[in-house]
Amino acid sequence: MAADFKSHILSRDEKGFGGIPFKRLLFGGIAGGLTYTVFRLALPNIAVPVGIVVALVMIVMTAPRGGLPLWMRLWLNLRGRLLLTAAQNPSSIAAELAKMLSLSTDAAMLDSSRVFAPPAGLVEVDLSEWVTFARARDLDRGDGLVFVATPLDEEAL
Amino acid sequence: MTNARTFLIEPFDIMLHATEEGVSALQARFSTWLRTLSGEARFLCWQMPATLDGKIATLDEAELVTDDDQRRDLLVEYRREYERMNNGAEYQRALCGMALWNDQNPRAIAGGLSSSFDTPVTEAAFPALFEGQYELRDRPFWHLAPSGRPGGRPYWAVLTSYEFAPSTWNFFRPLPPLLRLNFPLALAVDIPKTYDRNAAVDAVESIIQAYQVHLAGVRGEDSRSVQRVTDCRRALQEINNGDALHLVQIAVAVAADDLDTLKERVAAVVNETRAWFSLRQEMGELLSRAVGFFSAKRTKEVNLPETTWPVTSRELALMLAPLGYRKLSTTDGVLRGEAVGGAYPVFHNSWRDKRATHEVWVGQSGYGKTFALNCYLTREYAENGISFDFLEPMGHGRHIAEAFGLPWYVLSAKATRLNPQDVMFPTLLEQVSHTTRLYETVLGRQLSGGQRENLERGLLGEALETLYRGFPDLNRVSPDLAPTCATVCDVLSQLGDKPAIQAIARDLADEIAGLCTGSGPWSSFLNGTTNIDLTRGGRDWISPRVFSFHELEGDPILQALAYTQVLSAIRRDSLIDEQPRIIAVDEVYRLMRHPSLLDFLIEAAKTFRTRRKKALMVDQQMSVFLEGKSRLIFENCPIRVIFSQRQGMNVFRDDAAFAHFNQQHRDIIAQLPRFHFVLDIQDEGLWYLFGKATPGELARFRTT
Repeated sequence: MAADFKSHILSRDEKGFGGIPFKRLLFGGIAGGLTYTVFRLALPNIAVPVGIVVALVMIVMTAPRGGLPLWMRLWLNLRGRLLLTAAQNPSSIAAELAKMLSLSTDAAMLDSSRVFAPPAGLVEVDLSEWVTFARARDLDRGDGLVFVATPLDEEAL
Repeated sequence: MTNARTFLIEPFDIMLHATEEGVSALQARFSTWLRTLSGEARFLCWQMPATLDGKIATLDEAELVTDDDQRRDLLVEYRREYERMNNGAEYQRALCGMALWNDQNPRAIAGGLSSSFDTPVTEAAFPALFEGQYELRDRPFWHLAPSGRPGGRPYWAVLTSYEFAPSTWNFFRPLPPLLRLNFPLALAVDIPKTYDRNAAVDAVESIIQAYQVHLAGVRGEDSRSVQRVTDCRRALQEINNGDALHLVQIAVAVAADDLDTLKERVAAVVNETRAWFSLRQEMGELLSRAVGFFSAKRTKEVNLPETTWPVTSRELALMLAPLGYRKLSTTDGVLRGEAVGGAYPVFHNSWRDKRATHEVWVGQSGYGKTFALNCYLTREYAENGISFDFLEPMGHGRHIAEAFGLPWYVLSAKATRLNPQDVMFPTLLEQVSHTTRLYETVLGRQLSGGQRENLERGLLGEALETLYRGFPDLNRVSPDLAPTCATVCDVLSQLGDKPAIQAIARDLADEIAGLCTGSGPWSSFLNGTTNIDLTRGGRDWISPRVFSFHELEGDPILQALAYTQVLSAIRRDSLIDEQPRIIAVDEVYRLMRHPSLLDFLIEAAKTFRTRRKKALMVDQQMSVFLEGKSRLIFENCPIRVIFSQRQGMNVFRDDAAFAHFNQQHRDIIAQLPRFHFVLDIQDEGLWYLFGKATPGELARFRTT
């Protein structure tokens, strides 16, 4: 009658250091290393501190919050605010920025009739859009049976 | 591209499965269905506030329309009671749904879902989470606010799961407590992917391999990795035992009338589920998109960052737990009782079908059967204007007769006379057959099966035909014109064209005369003109009637005959119109034990049904309805009301008609306290109810 839920059996999360998974440490290390290499060419005096700072920043920014890395949350928050500003002022710089980021301002306003529209199969068929023929060859004559939306007006003979 | 198919699922009551075996069986059934999933799927549960306002409005309308003072008084009484219930409780309405993306026939899918979940499933569009336009707002926190005129529309926030803790799930935790928070919310269990078995095994095995390499090189302890390998192996074992591997994400939409309450509710939901899974409150464009989880939009179109969790079918089955939490459903129909556990009123309209829906009520004496029946008849009369005939052998019909000021027909061996020759059927053949059945009951033997008996049947039929043919129109034969038993015996004794036949006719006439005429034991009851008015008398509508047979209790034959004649008269009137009416027959076994009368009852049940007359058969034991021909009556009754059956539990275990009962159902039936019953409506569901009565009903029927 019960089930013991398991850990995420499809992802790897090897032990790292100081509570930080190995993956993130590795990523921070590579980013720091790359930065150090680049700075060694241009500004060798500050290459070591910059490399360390970048490594630390990478580790911090990849820390998960609510299942998302911090950088993504900050980015989404920024996009959200941009979206709201763009929706409020369609001619502002924010609107231009939103366009550049392919951020649709439709997301700021939800219409229940669109969001919760039933699937296509469940939409009632409007029979008045159909013409029915007794035989396939009648199709050429164009006089088929049609379903009318309302009763036709009576006409004097 | 495959289209979405959306299905609505009626929740059932998990109280009726709440044993170790019951819930295990439920989990097994759910997971068996989940194993067959091939494409995307989504399970939804909406919990919205509900009131009895619709019911109250219906009663108001009926109150205005009716010109019957008594009905109006009752309607006022019921309206007040529903208002009191409405004010004293916060009802919720729960509905479940399933969206599937595959190319199978939707009817076949609905059938499969229905048999797996053992509850009605229909293909239908999902209800909208909210109405009108909503706008995204970021202050004081990300939420959706109604755009334009709010018109009572709430604010919404959406939470999505991102991590599942290693904890134990069952059908009672963690999802049901969410539904018990008693505020409007919707829950979606999104299943964007189900791995096929080989892919699942490969995926899990590759993870094990990677961890083994890692563990081989690691120095010291890495308990998380060790645990992960153990979990992977357990998952592999479950997959190899037939489970599928699904990716799952849970989304919860929470509503409130103001932002402070919304914040509190979001916190309550997050705290309630924290030990099992973590929820993230969506923000920005993700919030707009997350609403798509409550529609028939594919997960790809919803397009949220992937935070799914892999679970096996047996785990996922427990996420369907909201299916077992039925709340206030329709308010259409009359109150049948209050759900035990959920404490919500259960209404049912058994008149939706063009025909009537018969009912069987069983229960031991003293467990509230008669009281519940009186309440039910009163409610149908007051709320729907449905009149009734109540036939009972104990004399307690007095209470309902007194309560309504109805004529109380007490049939007595001394004072009542019921002529078996009264015309009850429209054709001569049927009428003769009916009267012959009555004589068979009087004689205590069947007039068939042997040469002599066949001759007797023929002769009696001939005598009756001779008498009825004397009238130009059979349907105009009123009780005062109908031939008496003495006349039948006279005609019968003169029949036969050979001496041997003449002798048989005379013997049969003497036998009947000995019992039904002169100083025979039943002469005063049967020989003469009927002195109780069972006719329609030109009325368009017949008011409720109560027939009591307690003064015939000493003679079971008389009682059976009286039951039959009264039912025949009701049946005759039933043919005239299609006005709904209830014919409640208490202690129906007294009728069914006479083979000739049982045939009549079976036939009457069919006639009643087509003419919108509900037969409500009441007895103490279910077993009496399942033996021999009585079963035909039982099978014509889709509604079964079961009170305590301590002494007759074997039928619920052994009979195929109750194959849908599990051990918990049987345990409940065996231990039903007073005024509690199980309402089993074929193809609709099973309810464990308490016979809730209004103060007025309690005052009226207290003595029963």
